[in-house]
Amino acid sequence: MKPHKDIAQFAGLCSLCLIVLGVVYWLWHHQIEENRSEYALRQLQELLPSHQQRVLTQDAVAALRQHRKLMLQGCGAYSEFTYQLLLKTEQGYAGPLRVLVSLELHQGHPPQIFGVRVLPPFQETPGLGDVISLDKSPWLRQFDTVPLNGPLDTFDAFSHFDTVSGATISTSAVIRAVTSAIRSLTHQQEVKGDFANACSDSA
Amino acid sequence: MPVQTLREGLWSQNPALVQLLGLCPLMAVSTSFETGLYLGITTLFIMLLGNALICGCRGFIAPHLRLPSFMLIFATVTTVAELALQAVDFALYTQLGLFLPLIITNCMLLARAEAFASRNPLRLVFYDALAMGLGFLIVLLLMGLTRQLLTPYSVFFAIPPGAFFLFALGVALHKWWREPRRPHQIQTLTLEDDT
Repeated sequence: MKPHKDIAQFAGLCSLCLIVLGVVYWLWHHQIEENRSEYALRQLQELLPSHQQRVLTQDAVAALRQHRKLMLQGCGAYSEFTYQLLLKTEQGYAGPLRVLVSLELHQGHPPQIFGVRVLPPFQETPGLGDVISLDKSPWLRQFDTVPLNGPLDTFDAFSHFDTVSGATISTSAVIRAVTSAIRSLTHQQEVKGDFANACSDSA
Repeated sequence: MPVQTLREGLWSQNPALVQLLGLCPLMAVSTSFETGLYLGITTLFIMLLGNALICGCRGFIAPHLRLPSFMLIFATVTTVAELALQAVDFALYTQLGLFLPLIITNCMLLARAEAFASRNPLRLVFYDALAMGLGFLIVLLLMGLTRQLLTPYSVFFAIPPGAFFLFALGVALHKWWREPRRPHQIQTLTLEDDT
């Protein structure tokens, strides 16, 4: 037995594997980033009504990533509507969860949650914690178009929405993110960008 | 030889039904035909490429370091498959979720690498990996299809315990089919009186 030779061979194999992975990543990372942005954009579009969807561009995704908040004014007949997209991060069972909360504000009406999505990638336990993905479970649908009555700065989403047995930590993280988003609605600062001005083009 | 190897992988030595390998992804991912198909194809690809690499590199792998080396090769191939899927179909990548990287821990890969790929020529290794991967894929598809059809009638089949019962039924049926069926023989005992 020659331990030095064996260890050198194993180290060589490790290096070879690293080189292969590096080359593959170098070849595909642009495409992967592009796909990831497109997927995020589609998720954003699902959180807005159809008349607002065309306003969204990749710039909006970038702005949301940077400011963690995006505000869109309704166009034409919908000018009384304002939509706020808030990106909140909460600790799930197997790492941080990036939760996107869409809130609809209409003059003279109480605000309402338009929808909630958890942005991939996340590493929650397969078969249990992945109920926070709409591909696996309709659990996130309970947030759709829920009106928010009462004071917002003391709003507690746990008294309105159910967690899932077996996925308590993951679903609680999403509900905490919703609570945080709604409470921040009262003292939010407007974030504007080029994408918000696209309203006049799409009208 | 390929026909015999294929028959073994698909039927007589099926990795799931006979060797009971790779059951964790089988139970968890076979909730629908579609996800079963995608995971099965990815596993087949990783099995083919990984076993071929192990066969090619076996001269450079020290015998007492073979298991970590096999794991390293399978981990590399699985990561390549994961990156490829992210680049080609990101929606599918999110659908498969954590089960994609968990293919590395599929016992079937390590078992075939240890028992076959590290001891046989490349051509046979290719046939073996193809047969075993196809055998696993077919069981995944059958499980996925059955669960997809039964879930509207009972949510029990959507959860892993339901999959366990279905799989057990599949193993029992497979065993019953494979057993040589003999006609019931009536044994007549003759009692002889020695007295």
